[in-house]
Amino acid sequence: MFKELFKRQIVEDIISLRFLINFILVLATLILFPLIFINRYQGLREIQAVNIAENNLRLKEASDSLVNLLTAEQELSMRPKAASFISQAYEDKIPQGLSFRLSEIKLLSKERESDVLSFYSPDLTFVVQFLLSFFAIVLTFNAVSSEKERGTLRLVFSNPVKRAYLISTKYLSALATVALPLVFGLVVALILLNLLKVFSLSFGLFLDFIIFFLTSLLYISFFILLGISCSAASHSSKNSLVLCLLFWILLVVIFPKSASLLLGLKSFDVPTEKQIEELAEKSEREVWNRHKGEDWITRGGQDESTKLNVRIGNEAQKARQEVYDFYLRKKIAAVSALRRINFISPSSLLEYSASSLAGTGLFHFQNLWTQVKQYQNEFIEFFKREDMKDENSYHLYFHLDYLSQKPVDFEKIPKFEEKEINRAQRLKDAIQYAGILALYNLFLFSLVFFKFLKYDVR
Amino acid sequence: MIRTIIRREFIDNILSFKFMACVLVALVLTLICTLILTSDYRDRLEDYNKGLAVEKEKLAEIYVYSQLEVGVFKKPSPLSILVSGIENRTGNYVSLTHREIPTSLRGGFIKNEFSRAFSFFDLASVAVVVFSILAILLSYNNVSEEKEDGVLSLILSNSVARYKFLLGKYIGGLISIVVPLTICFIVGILVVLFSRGVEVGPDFFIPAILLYFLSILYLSSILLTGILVSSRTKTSFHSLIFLLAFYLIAVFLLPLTVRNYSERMAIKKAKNYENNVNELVRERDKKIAEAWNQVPVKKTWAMKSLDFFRRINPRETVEFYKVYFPLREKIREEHALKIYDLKRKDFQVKEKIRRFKDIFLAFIPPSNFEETAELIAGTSQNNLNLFFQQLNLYWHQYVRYLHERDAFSLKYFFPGPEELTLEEREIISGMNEAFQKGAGVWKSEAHKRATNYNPQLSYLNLDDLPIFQFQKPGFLERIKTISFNTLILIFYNLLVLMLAHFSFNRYDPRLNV
Repeated sequence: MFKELFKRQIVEDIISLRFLINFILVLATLILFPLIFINRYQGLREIQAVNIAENNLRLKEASDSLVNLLTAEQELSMRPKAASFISQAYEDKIPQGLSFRLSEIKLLSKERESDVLSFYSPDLTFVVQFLLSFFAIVLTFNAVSSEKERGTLRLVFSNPVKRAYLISTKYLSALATVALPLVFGLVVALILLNLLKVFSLSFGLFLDFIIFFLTSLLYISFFILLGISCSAASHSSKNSLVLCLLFWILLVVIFPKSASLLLGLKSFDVPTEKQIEELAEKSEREVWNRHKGEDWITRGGQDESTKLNVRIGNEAQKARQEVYDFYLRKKIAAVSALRRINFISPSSLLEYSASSLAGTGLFHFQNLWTQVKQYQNEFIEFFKREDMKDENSYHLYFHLDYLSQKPVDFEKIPKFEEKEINRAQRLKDAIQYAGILALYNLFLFSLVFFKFLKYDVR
Repeated sequence: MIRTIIRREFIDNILSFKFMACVLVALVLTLICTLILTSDYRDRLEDYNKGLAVEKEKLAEIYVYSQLEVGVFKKPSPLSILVSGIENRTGNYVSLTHREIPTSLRGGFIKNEFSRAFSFFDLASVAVVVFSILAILLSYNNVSEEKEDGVLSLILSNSVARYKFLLGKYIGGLISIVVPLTICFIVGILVVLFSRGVEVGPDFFIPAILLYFLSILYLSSILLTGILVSSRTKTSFHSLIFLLAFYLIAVFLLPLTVRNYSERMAIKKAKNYENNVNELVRERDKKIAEAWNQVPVKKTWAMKSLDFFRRINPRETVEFYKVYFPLREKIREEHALKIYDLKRKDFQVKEKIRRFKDIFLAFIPPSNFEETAELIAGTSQNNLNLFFQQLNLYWHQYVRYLHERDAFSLKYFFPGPEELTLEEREIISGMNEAFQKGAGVWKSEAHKRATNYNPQLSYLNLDDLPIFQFQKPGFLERIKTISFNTLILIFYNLLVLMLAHFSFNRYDPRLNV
């Protein structure tokens, strides 16, 4: 019986106008988006190449004397990723990376001016977030009520059909109907991206797309259940449609947008870039002031006072770095808090999950930060090792006057190369959000189930 | 007769569930977003006033021109409560020096740079997102459902001209939308009026009223589209599906695609700055290093810039900086101009692309409305560009002022009267002696005296420093900027009305044909 019901439902769904429009729209979008994506991706790659060349040039210039490496500044920015086609996660709107010196890591303050033009990005997440969820509700808003209006519901139930069966077939067939264009679209997009040579399809990337697809199913399923429950809860399909549309607007458009309004709250407040610079300056000066009565004048490498000077200098530098770190952490914490508020919207959950899966956006930035810190340690070790080779150096880290002045081999200097975030880590992050999404599904499913059991078919 | 149709349509609409639900949502949203945006505006205004005060205090306590940095604040516009545009997201101040011509704002909402990953919701978005749905829901079954109910044949069998029927439907629908829209606007404006610390004048109300009429024009275009589709389809269900697809495409998909495409083009085309700025900076640093080497310098006991402020410096150092600073600052100023030129070239390319995009988007009613609303409210990119144009002029004025004041001479680093006092000269010669003796400078009496010396310094008189005042475009100018978009919207309305008329004239009111 289950089989027959399912067959009847899916045929009905697939020959409907809704399916046709959905199919065409999703397919058209997924042909168009890769074309826009390639444009952006290549542009960003070129910018990144210029950036890396500049970093190398600076290191090369500094390599004529080891001590110059201390002050050589590099801009370590996020590598544009091919996987960002899954979700760009506003990556071009947040800071692009970190400014790095051997003793100092801070937020890169370079900005791109065009970032105010549009808010949503053309990626897979948008297609699922907006198009598919919309069609999920358009497909299901009259799932139950139209059958009642036509009188077929009573007919069906006059046969020995379990209510649970009927509602499950409706759910499954709708899921299949909405997912079908996505499968087609994904294949087309993958082929297009492959042809445009954005990436060569590897097993890993394929897996990412599959996992994204599964998360999307969870998301679509939420809206299907929403549609069915609205349909079961209202008297006519017209009212059900209105309810569905309003829910959709609230969950997909409005909630994700309104959390930012809370950023003005006092607890999320941070100083401006300039003020942070001043605070860092102040905390550095405080360390020096603490040692006011002591003799820290530099008088040559062997002298105790020089060593004291170096110690205080390092302590002061550390204090400065702490100020930068503190506010960077605070900024990220504020945004994370807002993201937690957005958990209320499945649309945001999908977005965060996709962003973690693709390793883009805030997740990308946080990861870059960790990697830059590792790079710093590596660089310091290299520096000390090279310095030890020089007998004329006093090995007083890090005072410009008492370290090796010898040239270093440019090839040997560690260069920063952003590593791909490993899949386990990305999945772990993505699964949290998908988990909440699954919980929402479960809740709605049980709601639909009970609602329908008590549904009056007359 | 037409009056009866209008009345019937209106009453039918406002008694329906869809109307009540949409209006309720729209009202609640309007209330919430205007309340929050008003408080946000108040914060920004406070920030602005505080910034101005701090700036004034800072300017009063400057000893030397090397400390001078003019903070320019952009005053928040109360209209940003209704149409936030890009105003909240672009910061509110720049600090201006002769070293750089600013092209982007800092501070404000983007103090937290990560906040750009969020966007805003305002009255204009309520109109686009919620009211559009209402317009679609009110119009999708305008003709087709009357047919399904069999009412259409009945009506047309009376002596009602078809155009009258259509017009009645349109006007009735429009009135049903205008009523809640008016309420939303009134609620929004009342929230603004009755909030503490927000003062608004005619330059708030006139654009607000313009905005109101523009919203009506926009919603009328959606309504007409609905009527047109309804009179072209066989069943109201099909008409609904088409219209919802239209909504999705026009409100979200198409603007996104066009905007992103133009943005990507801009990234791809405008790489002049990206590619050449490093070279310029390197050239500048090289020139500065050359300037440093050009001037013979004796390394001696005071080289820390802070010591200048206590005026205790060896003569050699002062002599050195006297030559070095004017050279260095000239190089910096020249390069500020060069770097700005690079940026401007990119900017021009971007502007061209942006203008194309704007023209294209003007043909999609929702984006047309959004853009025109931003233009009316003065929270658009155009307004920001104007701000920076004026700021550029101000920069030149400011640099001219510095030159007139001979600011890069000794005054750049040495505070107060140029001649040293007797006491200062004593301390300096004491330090010179101690330094020549070699070790033990730190413990010497002269060093102690020098570190404890805190002279009364005189501040610079900056009363005649030019002040930046942003000249907003006048009313007529604003009208001119929105005229293109508005005309297109009106044209769109007329076109769709005409099409609907023709298509309805040929409409078959019978069932099951």
